[in-house]
Amino acid sequence: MNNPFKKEEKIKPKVAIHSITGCAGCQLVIYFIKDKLLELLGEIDLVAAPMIKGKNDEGPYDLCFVEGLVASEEDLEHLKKWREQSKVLVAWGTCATHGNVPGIKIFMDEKTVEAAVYKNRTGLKKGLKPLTPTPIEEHVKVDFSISGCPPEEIEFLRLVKHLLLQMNPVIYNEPVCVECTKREIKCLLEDGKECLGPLIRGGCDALCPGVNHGCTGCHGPLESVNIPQVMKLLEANGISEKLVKQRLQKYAGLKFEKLGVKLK
Amino acid sequence: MGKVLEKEGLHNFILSLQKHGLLIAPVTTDMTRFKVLEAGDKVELNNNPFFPLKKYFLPNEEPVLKIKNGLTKEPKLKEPKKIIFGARLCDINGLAILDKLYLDQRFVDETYKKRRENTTVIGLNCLNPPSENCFCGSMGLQKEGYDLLFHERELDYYIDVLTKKGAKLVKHLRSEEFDFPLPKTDKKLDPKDLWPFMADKFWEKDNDLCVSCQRCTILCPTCFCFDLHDDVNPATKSGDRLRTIDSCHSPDFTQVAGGHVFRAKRLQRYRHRVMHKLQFFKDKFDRSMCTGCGRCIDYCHSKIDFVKTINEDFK
Repeated sequence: MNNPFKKEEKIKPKVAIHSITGCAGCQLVIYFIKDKLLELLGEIDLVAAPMIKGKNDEGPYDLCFVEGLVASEEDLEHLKKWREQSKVLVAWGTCATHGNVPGIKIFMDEKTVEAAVYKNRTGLKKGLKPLTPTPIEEHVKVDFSISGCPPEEIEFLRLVKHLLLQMNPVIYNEPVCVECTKREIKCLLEDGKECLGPLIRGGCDALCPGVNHGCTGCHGPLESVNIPQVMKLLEANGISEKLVKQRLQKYAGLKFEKLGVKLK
Repeated sequence: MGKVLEKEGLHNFILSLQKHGLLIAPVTTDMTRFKVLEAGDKVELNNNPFFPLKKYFLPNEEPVLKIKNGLTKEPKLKEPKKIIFGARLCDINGLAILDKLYLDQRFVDETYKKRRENTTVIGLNCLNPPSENCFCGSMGLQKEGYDLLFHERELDYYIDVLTKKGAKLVKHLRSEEFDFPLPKTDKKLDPKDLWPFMADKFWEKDNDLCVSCQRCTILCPTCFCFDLHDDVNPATKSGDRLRTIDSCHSPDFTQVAGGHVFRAKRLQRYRHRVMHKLQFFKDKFDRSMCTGCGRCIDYCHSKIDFVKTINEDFK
């Protein structure tokens, strides 16, 4: 894609950080960057960030981060509006990229799930009418996808820096095993435990295996994975197919289905 | 000419090395790793460490260029002198292979060179292979790449001395002439020209087991491929150009400008790794790039044994 951040323009690029259905944790990652974020704030114009700002501008935006997934009609309206208003739209976090935990609903009877929360659906505001929960790229074109529950701050910084410097952004695209091995962590899979490391996009510096907890897959799968073989390895470690499939459903069920795993 | 150290003198000898620099040796906790020796650590003499020796010469990430206010300069290496004890001949020969690439007269890598000069490598000869997957006995290892090498005999250690740097550390010991034997392994790789097997269906058998986790390349004592990233702060126009260890198992590895990926299929990537190790490098440098340490089999999630495949299936 063409980098819309023109060097000669003296005007700072307009950046927005927006949210639809989600826990807001992915936004918090950005605000918690603190010192390094303050350095960047001199280079950008943060025109909309409803979580931390009182006055928020409508578009056009040069760069818009969207956190959360489409779970209501209101979400979809907002998303479509931001897409139209933005030159670059980034799906920020696993809800936005893969559907995450709210997306588990797809694999259950949706009416039953809704009834558990909204006993009397007639009382709902019109915009809050539930939709089948779906990642944002099911509805609009996404320029960059950065998964993670939550994503790592370095991925935000790298993307913004690369765009500001007119570079082609690089998004980390290696399995968790890479960082795990580089950190010389004893392999949990080899130890007969449960770990989804070989399937999952890293970038987390093997956070969970580093504290002796198998990867649960919060970054979602890589495109080029050998799922049948990893499932065989997990089964050899005594983890039932049913449990493995539940794990795959947790963060990125839709994506795993697209990669050929039958989850329903 | 070599030197001789009595067996009971080994412990004190190792500790005395701390006078000359940062002492690194294999230590076993949940597994064996090279680490800086601290009080209470016991030097592991039986296992080969998980991560090979290369980590002290080719770190996972390092700056190759410093950028300040938009101007660039070469980074200065500020590292203490290191002494590494207990490296095996497979890892050490791995260094000798890396030397061919990084110390080539035409393109000397300055940081690698300084690290090599700054580090004293003391090897430990294997009497028994540390792993059942060791096959160095068939890979033509040579007595090169180290400063000193310890060979255990019945009553003492024979120390082979290759460099002046090493000789200084053992000048107080008794001299002896002895031709120590190279390690022997039960597992052997049959020397074969692999070109006729490029299209062999047996690659697929192993490839179906490969999960592209890249552990085989990260843990290989001779895998050196890297990627370059710029980490620059747009506000201050300052930062680093970083060299990070990359792997031919990653689809991004062969991605070029415009987005095309040359080895998009896992089979192509899997085959490339084995072919590079055993054939392409040999065609160019007259020596196999593999030193037979067996880590890529030991630590493979699926325990893919390319040695077995080549020996038994490629006919």
